[in-house]
Amino acid sequence: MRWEAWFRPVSARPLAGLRVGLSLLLLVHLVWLSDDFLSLHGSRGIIPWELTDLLRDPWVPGLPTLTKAFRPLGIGEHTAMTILLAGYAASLLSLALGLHTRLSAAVAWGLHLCVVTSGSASYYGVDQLANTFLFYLVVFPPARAGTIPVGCLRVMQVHLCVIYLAAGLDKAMGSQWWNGEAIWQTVSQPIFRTFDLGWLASHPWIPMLAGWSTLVVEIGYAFLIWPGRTRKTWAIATIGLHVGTCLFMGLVFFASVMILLTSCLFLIPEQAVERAGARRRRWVQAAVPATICLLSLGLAARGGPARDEAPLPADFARLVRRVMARDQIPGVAVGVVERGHLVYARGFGYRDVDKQLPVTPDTLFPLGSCSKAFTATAIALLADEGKLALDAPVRTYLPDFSLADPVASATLTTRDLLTHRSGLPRHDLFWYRAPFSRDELYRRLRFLEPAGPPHARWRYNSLMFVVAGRIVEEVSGESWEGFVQSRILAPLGMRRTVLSAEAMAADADHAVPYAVRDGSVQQIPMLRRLSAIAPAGAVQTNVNDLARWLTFHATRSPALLGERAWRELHRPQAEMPPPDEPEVRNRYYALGWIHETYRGHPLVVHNGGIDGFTVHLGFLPETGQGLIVLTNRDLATEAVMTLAYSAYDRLLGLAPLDWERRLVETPEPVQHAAKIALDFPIETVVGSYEHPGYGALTVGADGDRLVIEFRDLRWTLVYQGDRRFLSSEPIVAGAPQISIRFSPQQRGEPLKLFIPLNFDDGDPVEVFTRVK
Amino acid sequence: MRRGTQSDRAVRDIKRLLLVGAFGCHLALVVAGAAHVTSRVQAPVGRGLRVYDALSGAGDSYSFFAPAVGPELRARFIIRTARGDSFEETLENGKSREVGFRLGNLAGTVYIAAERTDLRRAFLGALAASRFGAHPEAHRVEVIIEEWEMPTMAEYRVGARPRWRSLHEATFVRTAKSRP
Repeated sequence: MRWEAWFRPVSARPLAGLRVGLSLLLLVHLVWLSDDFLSLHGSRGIIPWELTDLLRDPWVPGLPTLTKAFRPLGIGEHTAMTILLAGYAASLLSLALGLHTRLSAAVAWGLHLCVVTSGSASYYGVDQLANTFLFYLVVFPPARAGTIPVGCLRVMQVHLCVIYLAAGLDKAMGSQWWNGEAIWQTVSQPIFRTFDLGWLASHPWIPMLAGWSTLVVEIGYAFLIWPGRTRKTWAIATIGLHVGTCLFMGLVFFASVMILLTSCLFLIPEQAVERAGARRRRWVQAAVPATICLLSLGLAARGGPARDEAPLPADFARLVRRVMARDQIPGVAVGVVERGHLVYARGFGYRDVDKQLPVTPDTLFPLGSCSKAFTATAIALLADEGKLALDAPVRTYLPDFSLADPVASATLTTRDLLTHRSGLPRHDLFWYRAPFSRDELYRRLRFLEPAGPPHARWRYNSLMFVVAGRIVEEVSGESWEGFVQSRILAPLGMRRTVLSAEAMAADADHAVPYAVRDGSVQQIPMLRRLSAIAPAGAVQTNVNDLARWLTFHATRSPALLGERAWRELHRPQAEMPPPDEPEVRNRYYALGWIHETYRGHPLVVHNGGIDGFTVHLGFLPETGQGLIVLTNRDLATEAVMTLAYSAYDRLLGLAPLDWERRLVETPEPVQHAAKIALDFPIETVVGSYEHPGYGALTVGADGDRLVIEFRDLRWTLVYQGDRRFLSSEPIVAGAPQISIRFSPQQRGEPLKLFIPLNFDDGDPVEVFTRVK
Repeated sequence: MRRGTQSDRAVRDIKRLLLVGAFGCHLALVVAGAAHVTSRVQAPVGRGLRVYDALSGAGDSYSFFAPAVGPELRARFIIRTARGDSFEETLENGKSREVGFRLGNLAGTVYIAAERTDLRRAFLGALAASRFGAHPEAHRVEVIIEEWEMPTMAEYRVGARPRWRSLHEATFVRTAKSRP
């Protein structure tokens, strides 16, 4: 009869290979998931059984049914689950070893089915495939005498062909598999992304070709796996397809099961009688894919990609709280980004203490000087497009650029601006709370005294970033704000980031500034006049947006810049003074960033500080990890760096150093100078004074004390003899007390006031002239 | 003896005929399942088929990433303590990618369940409860189901970038009664 052909004996080795391979894969997979098993299952799982039961066919058994059976024995759910899992593992092991094959297969299949149905919310296709082939191992006869009816093998083979054909035809019905979008979408999803394949968008033919290849292999499988001539080729192509899903999507378990099925059902020969030598060779053939499966599983079971590892342990949160309490910091936001994934984002304390509003990863903070990297990136974008050269003189783009030093005016380059090599000292009180527009600020630069020659020493100066911002405007034809918005913030998806203090204040979720005054923390007014200095310090953003910013700088993803221009931003360029911490070495300024080594590892960082806020941003080029620390307290550098260095220790896997003890605020004691009786009439120096750059200040008298009013700052000074006065306290937070001097009264000569508004050794003293 | 042998052979033939029939029926169900037909068959035949499909896997469909690749879904939580601290986390626990796939599927299941108004609160509440359980200090948990919105290659080339888009949001507050 015809059906007799279905019972022709063939080698049982395909079935035996499947039995051993599948049970071992499931066993490894079970070990792999064991730590999370109770999260995925059980009445106390993430989705408890009472809800997963709603998704389950009541006629199909599940773990809840089985665990209930243990109740009469006084065995609780947790213990029952442990017993069932142990039984499942034992049956898989027994099946792999070929002990009581049919019984082992039946127990393994039954328990696998229960696990899958009761955890249906979290299981996927490969679990169903495993169930299908475990079922075949139960119903088909065990491989006694080394043969099985060929019909058993054909059923499994046809089933596998139907799987590939259905998968291929279903794919072919969608346009995504024809135009390559399916491949693009898949490899770009965070859960599958193993490599940064953003560049594929520029080469759409690659994903398109991969999509077509997938369709050809899957649809062709049903037809070309059967003929002897094409079988091996098609099996290799299919295995290649699954190796691809393993490498580019991380689907290790799924790929391993599929490779095993093709290897066992189509590559292991089914002839029953063979010579001994051929037999040995074919076992080797079959062992190769199985070994690949197990090796790949073993590799993947080690923990998956680095992005999945917890970046900062629980003790870091405790450290943050201790440092906040120690330094009276109302609010802190911390973020860690790892190759595009914000793997740690946490707010501590309050963004507004009075209203008890908490800090969140969405809370906006001003970046202060960390904004400089935005201007540097804008310049790099234009340089990358060939629209400007970093080493061309500034006057190439700004013919009216003028500083006090004519050599500097003529020869300073854009690179000099971005690396603080203009020769100018800080001149922070030139722009701080100044009533100048950005144009006015730029026009007045020519009146600022340099501290040294251009191109030489690194001297921090924010004003040169205003000049760099002006170059961006001149070359691009857009405002600095417009360019940063359209060319940096929008492409990076930094949707909450704003470029003015006013815009931040208008956002409901923004941090309020605080400072420590007289030993207690107090709210202070927000510094709003930032428009003039915006290219150096007006970016306001949050942890979520900064994750994108640091991802770009740490990994050039997305590729806004060519690799060369991107590297130029972080390359050490201007040597900086050595830091106090011996663990930090080789400190150089790059372009809007600082490049240094921390405990032997390259680190790219920048700090920012503006009234009421101190922040730190940094990334580790070796690992692609980035760190964000934002606080809403003035001059909290020690606290911020305690958290930053402590976080870097943990991210680098180094033994944590005791930064908490080493970096402690030491307030400068106020110098109470001995009061000296005036030896000239104080009224003779009272009046209005003018500096061509800094503008006006007024000198008044309050008894024998001098009162200077400069913008909205007011300083009281006491006489020190020789026409010198000492300020009774620091002139602004973080600055020192200053000693001023009046020129001798000479007929015909206007009175001059010498006032040091820059505080480093060798910095020039500003000279104000009395005008009335 | 001969009669016995003939009888045995007849029994064996019937058995084999039945087995071939069973193989054929099973494969027919495999094809029907792959063609999405089985799920349309009504009870009581449909129920029996579905039970057999579930046990044997014959009724499975195999639309892996087909006809189009759907967006990745995730559950994100904003957790606030009574002291005002807040932090965010997702279900991913970082142990392995395989666990990540399953937790991602879980978020997808919750999203599908949340489409049904009668189930939405229960499923989102279950996610929130898991966070209350993991963080005893948590006072409020916001559950956000998000999808990964990936631009097409053409959009990506002109500057569009992927982002997480919120699909469902719900806030749960721990009450005094629910405190451990």
